[in-house]
Amino acid sequence: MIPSPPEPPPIASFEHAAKWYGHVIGLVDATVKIGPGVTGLLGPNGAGKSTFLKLLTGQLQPSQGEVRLLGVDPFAKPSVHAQVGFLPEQDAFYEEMSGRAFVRFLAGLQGCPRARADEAIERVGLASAGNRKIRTYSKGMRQRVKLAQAIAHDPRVLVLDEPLTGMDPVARRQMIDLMRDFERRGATVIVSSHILHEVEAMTDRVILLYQGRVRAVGTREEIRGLLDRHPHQIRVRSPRPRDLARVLLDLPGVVGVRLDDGSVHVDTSDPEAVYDRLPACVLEEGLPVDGIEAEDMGLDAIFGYLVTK
Amino acid sequence: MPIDIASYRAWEGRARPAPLAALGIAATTIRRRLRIRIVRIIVFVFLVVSTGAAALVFYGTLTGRGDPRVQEQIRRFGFENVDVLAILNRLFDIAIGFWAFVLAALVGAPVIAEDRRARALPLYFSRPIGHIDYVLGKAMSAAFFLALLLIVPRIAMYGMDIAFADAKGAAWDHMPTFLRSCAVGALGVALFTSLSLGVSSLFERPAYAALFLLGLGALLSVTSLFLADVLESPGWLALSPYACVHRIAIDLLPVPIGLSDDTAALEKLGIGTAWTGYAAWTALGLFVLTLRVRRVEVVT
Repeated sequence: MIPSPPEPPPIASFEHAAKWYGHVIGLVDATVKIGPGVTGLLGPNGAGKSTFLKLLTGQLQPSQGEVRLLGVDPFAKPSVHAQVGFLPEQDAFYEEMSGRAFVRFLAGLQGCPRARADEAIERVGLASAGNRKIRTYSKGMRQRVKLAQAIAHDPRVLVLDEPLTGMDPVARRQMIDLMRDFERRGATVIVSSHILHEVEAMTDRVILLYQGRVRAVGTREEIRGLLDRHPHQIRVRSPRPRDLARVLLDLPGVVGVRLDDGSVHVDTSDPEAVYDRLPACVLEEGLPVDGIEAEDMGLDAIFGYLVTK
Repeated sequence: MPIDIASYRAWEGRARPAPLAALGIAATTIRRRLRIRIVRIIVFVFLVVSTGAAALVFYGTLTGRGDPRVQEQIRRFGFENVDVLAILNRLFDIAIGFWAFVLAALVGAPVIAEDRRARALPLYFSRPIGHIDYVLGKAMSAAFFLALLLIVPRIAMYGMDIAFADAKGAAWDHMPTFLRSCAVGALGVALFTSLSLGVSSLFERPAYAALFLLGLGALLSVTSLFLADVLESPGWLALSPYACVHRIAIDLLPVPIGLSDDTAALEKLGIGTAWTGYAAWTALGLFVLTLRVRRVEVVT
């Protein structure tokens, strides 16, 4: 029997990592491993996403536990940042500098040539406005400058903190395409957001954070699998929702129903049984049904379960 | 303005930590400071005026030695057989003290405070540079301007000293005075850089840092003079960082004539106390800087 090859080391890992600021908890007992590809970091404001990313990029030292990036402690070994690009959530500029000069300066700190900084400026679509002062830039342009300085050195690990903030829909799409491009070239992209559909659009691999704790790690389906003990939700639309709700309550596995504007929201621990038996019930009772849809597989639903645990 | 993936060419080079990251930080900080008009004015005025004044004095003192009227003036002012270069440097020290504080407030005090205010620290510390590179870069930028004020005019004075000297060996003969005067300038640069960056690391608003440094300088000067006078103990003068440097300058550049009442009063301060005061102030600035920037974990 041929032994299976050893599992490659993760690009980034947290081992019981915690961070607190005085009495305020930033992150508690986080243990996760992050591999290549795009990983979404999801949680509401104050969940600990920025603390997570700052620990990952060596800007903070864990109060407890261990953080590794490309195999080393990023706080103790700043040299690892030569392979990391970071887009901070907040605007961090010298406003009187031009976008081009700013990106050149920061790229220079990476040991990156000017020409490369200029290419990054072009790549984010700021070539024509690159010589204008940053103080004249719109929110979306500022995001592009931050992105340019993060990608100028073609990093192996790209860390983006709320990158879509302030971007118009077209720019959002382009930003997501850019992440995919990095993914295709074997890079690791770690992106945070508090907007669920944004993360859904960017990646299927998710780390869910809430109140400083890692609540779940995995694909949407894997996370959903962890939550089998929680009821799945199915929405059934009908012009006679009350009659329909009465019938649905008799189905096996259904633990509750809720009426909402022409719809019945069904909580069930056995969704397959509902799907199997619902058509027959509808026919027997003569109840009209306009549509059936699962509400569970959206990150909204998963997140809702997790934060109320 | 699309984010253009098609035109993007993957970089085939290899990113490495910049070996001289501190120089890059210093260069950018200097460029940004030079955009401030008052900084440009102070640097220009002191470089041009001090150099011009020195030129005139040297011209009158050294080239006019053959003229009986000039010789009479030299005798009257007691400049005969004295080291003119040392006197000029001492006069320069007296004139420059206040402005060194002003320049330190303008070019040193804001540099870290403005980074904190602009939330620029994450951009620095998510790069392959350490805290030492960052502090060194900022210190070099402040030291650059202070050196323009405190050292470059001395070099100009020495240059003119040589240019106008009669004796062929003047460059070598006057070298010790020149080196001592540069040492005085370097001590001033180190002190004001350390103090201004230490203060800068305490604030998030550049203006507050600058005002605090100016206020601190004024308060310490007044307090030291008051305590030395009331308690009749010149050792209290060491409370003032500027007094310490000035007293050291008197020791390094002795001249046999009185240049001012302040100089006469300062001579009562023991040189050992002055060195101790100087070391304490410089160390305090560095200590605060190290403590604050080491603890600047980027929490925004």
